[in-house]
Amino acid sequence: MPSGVPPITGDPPVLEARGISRRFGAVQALADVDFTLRAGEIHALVGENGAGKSTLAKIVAGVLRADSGEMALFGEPYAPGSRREGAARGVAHIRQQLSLVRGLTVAENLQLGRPNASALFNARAARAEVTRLSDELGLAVPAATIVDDLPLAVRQQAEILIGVAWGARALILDEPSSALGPVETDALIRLCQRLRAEGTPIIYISHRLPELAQLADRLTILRQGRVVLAGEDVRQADLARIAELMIGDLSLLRVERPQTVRGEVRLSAQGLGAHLDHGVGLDGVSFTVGGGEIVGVVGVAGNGQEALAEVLTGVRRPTRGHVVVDGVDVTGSSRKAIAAGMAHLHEDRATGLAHGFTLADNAIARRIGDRGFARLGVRLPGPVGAHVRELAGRFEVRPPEPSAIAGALSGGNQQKLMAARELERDPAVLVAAGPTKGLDPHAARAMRDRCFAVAERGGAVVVISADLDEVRELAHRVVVLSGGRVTDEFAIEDMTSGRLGAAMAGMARPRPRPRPGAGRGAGAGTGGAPRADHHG
Amino acid sequence: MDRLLTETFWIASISGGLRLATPLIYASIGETFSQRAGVLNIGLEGYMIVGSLTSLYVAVETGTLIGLLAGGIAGMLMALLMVALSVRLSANQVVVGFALTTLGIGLTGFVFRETTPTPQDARRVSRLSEIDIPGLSDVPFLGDAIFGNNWISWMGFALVPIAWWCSARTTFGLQVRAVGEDPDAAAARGVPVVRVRSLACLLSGFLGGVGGGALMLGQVGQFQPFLTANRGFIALIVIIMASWSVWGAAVGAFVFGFFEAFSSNLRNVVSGDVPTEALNAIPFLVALTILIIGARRARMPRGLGVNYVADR
Amino acid sequence: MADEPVVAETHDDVELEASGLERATIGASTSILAVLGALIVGGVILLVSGDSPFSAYGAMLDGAFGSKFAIGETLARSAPLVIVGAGAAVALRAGMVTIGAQGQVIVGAIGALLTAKLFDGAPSGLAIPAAAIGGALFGAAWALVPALLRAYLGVNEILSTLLFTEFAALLIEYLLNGPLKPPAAITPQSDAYPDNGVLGLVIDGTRFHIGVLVAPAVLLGLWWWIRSTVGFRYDLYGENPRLAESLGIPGRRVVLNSLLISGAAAGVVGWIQAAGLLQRLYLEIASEIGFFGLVVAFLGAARPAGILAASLLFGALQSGGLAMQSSEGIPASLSDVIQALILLGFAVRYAPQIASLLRRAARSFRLVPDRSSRASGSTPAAGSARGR
Repeated sequence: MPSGVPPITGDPPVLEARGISRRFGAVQALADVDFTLRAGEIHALVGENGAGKSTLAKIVAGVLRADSGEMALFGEPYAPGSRREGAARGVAHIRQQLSLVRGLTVAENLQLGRPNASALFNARAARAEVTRLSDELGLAVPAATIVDDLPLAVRQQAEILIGVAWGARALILDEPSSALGPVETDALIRLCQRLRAEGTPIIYISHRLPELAQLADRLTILRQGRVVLAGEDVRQADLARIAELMIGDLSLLRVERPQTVRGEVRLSAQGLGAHLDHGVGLDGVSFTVGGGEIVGVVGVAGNGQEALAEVLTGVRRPTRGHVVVDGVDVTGSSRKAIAAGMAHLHEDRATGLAHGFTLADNAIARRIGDRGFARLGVRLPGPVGAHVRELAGRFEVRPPEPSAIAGALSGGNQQKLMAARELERDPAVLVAAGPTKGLDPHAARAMRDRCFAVAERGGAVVVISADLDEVRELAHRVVVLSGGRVTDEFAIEDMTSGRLGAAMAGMARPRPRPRPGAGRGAGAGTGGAPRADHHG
Repeated sequence: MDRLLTETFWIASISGGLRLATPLIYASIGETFSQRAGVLNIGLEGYMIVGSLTSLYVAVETGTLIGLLAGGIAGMLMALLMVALSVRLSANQVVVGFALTTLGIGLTGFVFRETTPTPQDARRVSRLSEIDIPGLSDVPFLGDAIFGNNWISWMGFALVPIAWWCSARTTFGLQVRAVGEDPDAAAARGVPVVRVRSLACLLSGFLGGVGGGALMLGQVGQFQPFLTANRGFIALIVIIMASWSVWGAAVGAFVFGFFEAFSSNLRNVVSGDVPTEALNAIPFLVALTILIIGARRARMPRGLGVNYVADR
Repeated sequence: MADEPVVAETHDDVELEASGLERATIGASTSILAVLGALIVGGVILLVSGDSPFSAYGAMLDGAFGSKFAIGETLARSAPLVIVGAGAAVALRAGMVTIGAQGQVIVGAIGALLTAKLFDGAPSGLAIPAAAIGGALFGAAWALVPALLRAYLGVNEILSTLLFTEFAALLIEYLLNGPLKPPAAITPQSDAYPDNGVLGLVIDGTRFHIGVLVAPAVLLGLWWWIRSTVGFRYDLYGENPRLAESLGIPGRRVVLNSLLISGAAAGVVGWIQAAGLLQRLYLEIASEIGFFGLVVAFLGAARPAGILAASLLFGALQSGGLAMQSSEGIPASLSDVIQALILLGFAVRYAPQIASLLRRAARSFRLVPDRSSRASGSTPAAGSARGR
């Protein structure tokens, strides 16, 4: 089937949803949404975080039920009660958090939950099926490897492959490219085009417009749970208008990155090596960050980011190399690192906070023994409470209630609480791992501003992230990590997808010497996310 | 000391080891399934002791096979509490496990004392005879060392390959591993996490009870309070060493059983030279070594001990 | 990922932790329910086995509180549970479950006796503290290997401490049959505890000895620990080890020290058992103190008041159970059964699903002030942000 908008025929659409609404508590996640997926098309579903894209996808997949509205699949009534039921009807849902069981092989995952699977497991047949489909789709998915040991992109391919093997007649991909590098994204786009050519229509959820312009046939935009643009032909669409429709309040997108003033080197990573039992460690990682500078460490997830964050903050002792903060060697000691002014925003809020502790205990955890908060080794709840109340106000943690339990706060407020603990006093160095990950536009903006504020006050900031948009928004300079090594390093203005892709794919390039301060006039509003390119 | 080198000494140690290993094989295989599904049964000791008393009381009235099955069912009823409280209601697995151990020991002690006013009233079963396997049982050394077991032991040995097959070659086996490794992903793939975990936990209760029955009917023949003497916990150690493989668990059980038999045979050989208590410590020293080695290389199911709450 | 955080984000009125009053109300009422439930099940067991629950429980109550002697007995049985429980609580709070107290009590008793023999003839003012320290050190030493194994090799402490309890049982068996056994003795036991180290009776005609008074001191220590900065760091490690390490708290030292502290507490119990209650070593010197000390720490949520209440309850059940056995002929194992059932009841009570259910129930019955109406314009569905 040729690509492009298929002619409207008498056949019923693959999927037709009418008047879908869904509420979560006080929030109307979807309000009276209509959506149609036609045969042979890639239909992009776009919108900001929180617009309701994933909720719609989950309703179509059977994970959630709509409060009202109805759906038809190939003209027949369709109301799946579970993801399993959706899969049995031919709807494959590929989530952002992939649902392959990590400790099993791809072939075993193929069998697990398969509609009408037999009670016996024929390992050889399952492996053969994976290999055959992998060849047919032009992939290289190993059948007998444990999922843990596969790179993220391959896991994603494996899950799509399993969807096809289970007989998918429609595919939903929810933010499939958010953690991929340019090379992997290209491969994903080719795979989608191939599937479309073979007759499998796809609902493709994303907020990256350039990617969609390349891939999608039609486009539907959601904003705050409502359809603001329905099934527009992508080739005739005006991307700038689409960006505006998506976001509504454009000021949220404007990134006011502070001017680069690369002061003296405050953080220096010198030939760091690390070994992890599972996953990629570090192999001779060196870079420096100056005061007032924000360096983004990018790479496809699982290329040493985890080890780097742990080594920089002193949680993990490197097998070789040194971490130096303001001339002080803090290698392998989080205590020394903290004393030297290191702050750490953990990527995972589950590890970054003590969820069973109160807001006050979390906020004060770094300074628990400080004079004024304790006497004779006993904590003083009064002064601590007053201080925490002030801190919660300053960092906009809601509710600003010292006795609230941290685990009961919303994600954005947990992130703010973690920031309050780490950034209460201006740090010399901030290591922020995925600081805006999973946050809505408002909370993400607040976190960005925190990072900028640290840099403006002369701190050195390292942003470790697999999300290129996040790095584009934050960083002055980019260090590319691949296979635990630094494969390239350049100013944000020099970032092209070709250069980045090559580096993320592990092709090292002779490293230019860092040019302190020179030629890096990253002014306000430039170099933002690609989605911002169209209205800048 | 030269008596250490005699053939009978080693035959007795190996055959005794196989016999002593039997209860551990049953219990550790069942518990391997449960732990692979993510449910840690610290209460295995309780399942075993309830199984042993029940199997005795039923076997005295009926027969050995029915007694053994009754032991299994009694163990399963104990595990049902674990399922109800931990798997379903998310109560802490370790706390419930300790409670079930205490409950098992207390309950059996209570029933035994209530039904045994005087030592003469104690119920007994006679020892099972070994099954001769024509040909094999006559092989020198090996015949006596390995091929002289009663049918409860033989059944335990036969269970090992069956359990392996279930684990590796059936969809249920896959589901068990999936819900123990990554319950959220498994649920997203349509695996009924709570049901699979419940079944695996009940299996551990059943085989733990059968293990207690094997201890009673295949070896001891008579109850006493705290009869199981921490065998349930030894089974937990064996599983760690085995890195959650059923073959490894069987081997680990034999290693522990062998050293138990070895140390008690050694008592006759070195009587007077070494305190008995030091000899009795040998199997536990072996268990400690096993535990240390196991901890070094073990790859634990990621979801072990963590309750799964659906729809998070 | 894209939608849920935002959904949660708009719920700033998320379900907060229950207020102090609410927690106390629910805590007290559910504790009573758990105990009552256990007694009822125990009563059913008695009925099935043909005994009268009323006379059995009557005998139990009488044996626990019915006389000066009975109360003394209950206190003498509760004190070791308090001390072991407080030690276990420090480890529990730091994220470790040790069941080694059983062995550590035994070794602590041995240590106390050996130290006391060393100080035979010295003034009591010297001999008594010396024996106490000896007991504590021996108890801690018995915890050292499992602690090192856990800290450096990640060896499961539940199982390693269990094995060390076996070793301790074999050790005391050896000592009481050989080196420490007086020539005239028939059953395994040691010489009498040196007179200058004996802890005298507080009330004559009971077994309420001076050692029992160590328990309140230990509780006070735990009360301080929970409020101290060092205790906070250990708690933080128990709650989230990775965060604790990134905040500069040395994990290995926390593991090591908390297990050694719990070992020392158990060793102290060995000392008061040897110097106060029995004044001689027997094989059963630890009875089941170690195991139930841990249970008491669980029940008391590793807090001083809870541990005290649970210890008194268990001490009463145990002394009452023995009295019931001698007067009614009903096996004292019934106490074990009831204690296990109480633990089960508490385990469920702490289960998250039950806890939130209870909170909701308490709210709807107006047992406690209605929080959700006080929170900023909350809706009944606010809890869904967490519970959905």
